[in-house]
Amino acid sequence: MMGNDLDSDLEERMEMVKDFVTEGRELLDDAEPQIIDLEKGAFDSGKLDEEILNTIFRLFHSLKGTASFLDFQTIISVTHEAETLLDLFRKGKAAVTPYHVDLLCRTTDFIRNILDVVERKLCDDGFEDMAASLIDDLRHVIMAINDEDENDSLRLQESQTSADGSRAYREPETPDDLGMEFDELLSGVKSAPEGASMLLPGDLETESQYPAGENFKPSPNLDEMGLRITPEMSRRFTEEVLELSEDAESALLQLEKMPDRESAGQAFRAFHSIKGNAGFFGYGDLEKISHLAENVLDRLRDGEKAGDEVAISALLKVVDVVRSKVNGMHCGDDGKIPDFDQICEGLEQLADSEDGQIFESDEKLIYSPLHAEDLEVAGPNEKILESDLTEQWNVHPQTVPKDDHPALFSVPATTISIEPKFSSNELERGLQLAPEAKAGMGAPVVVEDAAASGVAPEQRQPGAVQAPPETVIRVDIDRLDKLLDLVGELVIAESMVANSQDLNTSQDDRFNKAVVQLDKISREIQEVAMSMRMIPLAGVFRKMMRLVRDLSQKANKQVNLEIIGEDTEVDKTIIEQISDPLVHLVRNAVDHGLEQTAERLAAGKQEIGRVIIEAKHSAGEVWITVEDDGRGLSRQKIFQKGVERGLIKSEDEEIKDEDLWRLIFEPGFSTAEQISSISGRGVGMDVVKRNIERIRGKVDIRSKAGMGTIFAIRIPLTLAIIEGMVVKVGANRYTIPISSVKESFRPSPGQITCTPDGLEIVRIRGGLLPVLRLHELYRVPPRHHQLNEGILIVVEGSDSKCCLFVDELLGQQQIVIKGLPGCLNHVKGISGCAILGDGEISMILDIADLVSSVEHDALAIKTKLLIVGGEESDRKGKAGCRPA
Amino acid sequence: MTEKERLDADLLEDDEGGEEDTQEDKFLTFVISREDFGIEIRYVTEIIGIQGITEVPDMPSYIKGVINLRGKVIPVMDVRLRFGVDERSYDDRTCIIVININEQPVGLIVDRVLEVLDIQKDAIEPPPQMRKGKSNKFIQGMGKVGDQVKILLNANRLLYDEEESA
Repeated sequence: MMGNDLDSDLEERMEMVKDFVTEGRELLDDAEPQIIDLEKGAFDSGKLDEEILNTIFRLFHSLKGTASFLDFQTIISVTHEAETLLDLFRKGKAAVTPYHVDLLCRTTDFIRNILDVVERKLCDDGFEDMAASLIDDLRHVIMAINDEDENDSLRLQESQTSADGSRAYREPETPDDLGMEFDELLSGVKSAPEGASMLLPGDLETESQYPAGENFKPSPNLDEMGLRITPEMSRRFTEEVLELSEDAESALLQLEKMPDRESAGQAFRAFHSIKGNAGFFGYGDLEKISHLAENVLDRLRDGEKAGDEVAISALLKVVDVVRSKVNGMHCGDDGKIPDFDQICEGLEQLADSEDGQIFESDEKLIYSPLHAEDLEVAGPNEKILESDLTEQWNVHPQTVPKDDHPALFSVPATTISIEPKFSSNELERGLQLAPEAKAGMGAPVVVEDAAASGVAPEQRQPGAVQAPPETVIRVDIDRLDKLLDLVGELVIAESMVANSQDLNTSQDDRFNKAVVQLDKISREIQEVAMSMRMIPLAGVFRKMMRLVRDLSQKANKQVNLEIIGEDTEVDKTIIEQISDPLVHLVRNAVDHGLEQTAERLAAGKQEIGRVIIEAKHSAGEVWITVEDDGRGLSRQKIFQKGVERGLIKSEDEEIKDEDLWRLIFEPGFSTAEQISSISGRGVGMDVVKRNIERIRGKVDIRSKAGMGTIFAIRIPLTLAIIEGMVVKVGANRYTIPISSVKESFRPSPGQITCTPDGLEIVRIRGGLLPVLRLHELYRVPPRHHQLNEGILIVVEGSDSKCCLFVDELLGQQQIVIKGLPGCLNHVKGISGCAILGDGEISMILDIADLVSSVEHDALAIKTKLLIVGGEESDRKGKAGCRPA
Repeated sequence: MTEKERLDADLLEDDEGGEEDTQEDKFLTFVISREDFGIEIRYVTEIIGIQGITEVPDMPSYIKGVINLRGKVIPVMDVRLRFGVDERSYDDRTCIIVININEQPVGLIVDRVLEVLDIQKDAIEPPPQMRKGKSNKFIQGMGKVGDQVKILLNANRLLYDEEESA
């Protein structure tokens, strides 16, 4: 396209192309709402709004004009056909159907895509094939209209095939998340049975193309469309499919627990999206298998088939296959799926079994459950409205034979499903939102339209304003980290300014105000930046659902998994690290913890074992506990094994439970007599401990024989920025996370007791707290040696307290946590360092570590004065009376 | 032939490899006590003046602590102490050479920085085998410049040797 004289002045052409692209986008932005208006007008009043039609016509025409000036043949040819079609409408030769609107929207999307390419490459090469298919569609429609040929089936079928292709093509060009969102929304509508799911053009056309149980043809893949798969695209594909398979999995598990249409629909949608994606990338295997899964789910959804274990297991198997295949792809492995044929066969059988009539009556086809639900919500008036509409549109179910042209139903049914929901005003408002969303999305507008109406039906009340669909964008984690780094710098710089002596002396009121304002803003930025890295634990926890299910089958135990607090958000890096340990803990709980049913009954417990996974925030940490009500750890066995392995001495019988339990984290430590397929090799707990320690977390075990075991994982939020108390010891400054600081005071000499071993104890409000002299710990010459001259800070570690002795308090400020440089390894009692307002570095104290070290010292000298606080004494009491 | 020569040269070199041509054979020289030392320029990222060092507890004595290098916390090592030479108070000529080893920046405190020298490979002798003392292992070679000898340091060993032998 560039081979003309304009080439000689490339710069000028670039300028022109730029203008053209901008203008073209504007034109498209204008055109899209108009097209939708056109459709709406057509359905509202039954005839076309001529003015709108003319506007659209003009928009396409100007696009064509500009394109021809710059010699963009593809755009010219496509817009030309679109014009022809519009012309037919203008002449009143045909009524506008959603299909037409869909086509027009596809045209605009297509042009938009070309514009993107044009902007980068200055030419519109490479789109000829796409254009040809689109033009074909347009011509078909035009011809159909011209011939006034009522036999639509051919046209529909052909256009569907290509529609499928072009849809698939558009997907990667648009932000995936938007696409995803809408896919999901779409499927919200589709969750109704087959009949209702045909309401939607576009997405469902693909579906109706392969009705359940019929011959399946893989869709044309990229090679045929002449597109290249970029690494970026396949990365997204992997990500998306993995996400989808997670969705599918949790939906399936839900389905097994309680068969309901919603979960079936959800799983169906997930598989459908996987199918679509796989088809686009030309992974025939994946496409086929998810198609078969879809078929099965379709039957489940319609209640024709029970969601029994066999079916769910088969479907879960598919999820696994999809996942492993995609993971394999990620590593460049393009291997075949093992047992592919078997799985397919199994699925086919599942889908075929209990063959029945899809719908009992035709009526059900349109008064689909989706409607019924919606109507219930909408109230009786709406019902009337709907029947009115049905009459108005003459779409009595009886008038259309059921099986002939499924896609045709989409026309009236969509309309009906929208109409009762909005007054025309609202619809308009909703539609105005559409073009924006559409810019990123590229699915046919009609679909969005219907999709929007499919969002959470229960939320839509008559007269309520429709909420815009939630939008999500994927951001590279590197960029987030960079942002977080910068925010950290900002916070440091901010406190440098705020603490600057030169500026502060001016006593300028305005300056102080500005500083306060600056502080407020930077805090907010910080919070936002940090929250962006936080993701809920739900994803990890849902995996556990699947795990427990599989395990309970393998171990032949009935397990009821409870998940609490899956919304708890933690840093992404933690999520990555926490998954493995959790798997091991849950495995242990099910395999070792829970007894066999008979044993449970004998022990007077409920037949079904309970495993509880809970997450919560507590004191700047995230607590994740895995609890079971099984047999508990066996003190005897562990003790024996510990002695055997030389980890403890046989005379240590008095060893505290906690210390004994800790032995199970030793590599290779297992009391299991038999190694089962699930666990028993003594590797798991070692992994748990290592992984948790890597993220500076800790694992605690509480166990009671016969009552069960609790594993508590405590991990820091790894918030990069915390509120800290800066203290001074000698010339050094240390920072204590404010969340650990309980109080600070200057003790009077009478409060202090000194044990013969030199341990100082401070009495405060009836409690006795050991004192830790920081200057002794870090060997710095302090300013004060007497406790009553310096300051004591009461800090709380995991569950006990102690006092830190420091010279003075310097104040509280926001600090940016920086890890210690890698080569310094782990320093005892130090969790990192912080850059203070004046640019100097201060060490951040690891309070939990310090407190526990004090405890250890205390235990070593076996003083009984150390019972601190109620909790501590409780624990000790328990330990004491626990049967050995 | 040339290929072989290059291969030999590469083998003579520390097995780091991959440095840019412009940085080859260039050494940043500095003074500790009375001796001149050199370190391959490709490790060096910058030279800064001495600044406030924050102590880190539980560290070997030659790790003086950490400094804040434009928002980055980097450890600093007193090379004198690393070599077992007596500590000496810092003055305005004391410098911190920031080197980058395995993506980890580290500051080296030296008495003063001299210059960047070109020392051809054929002017570098292998480290003396006879000498006793533990500092020998940090030496990559002896560079002859005119009538002077510069002790060329192996930056990697300077940082990681302790862990290897431990």
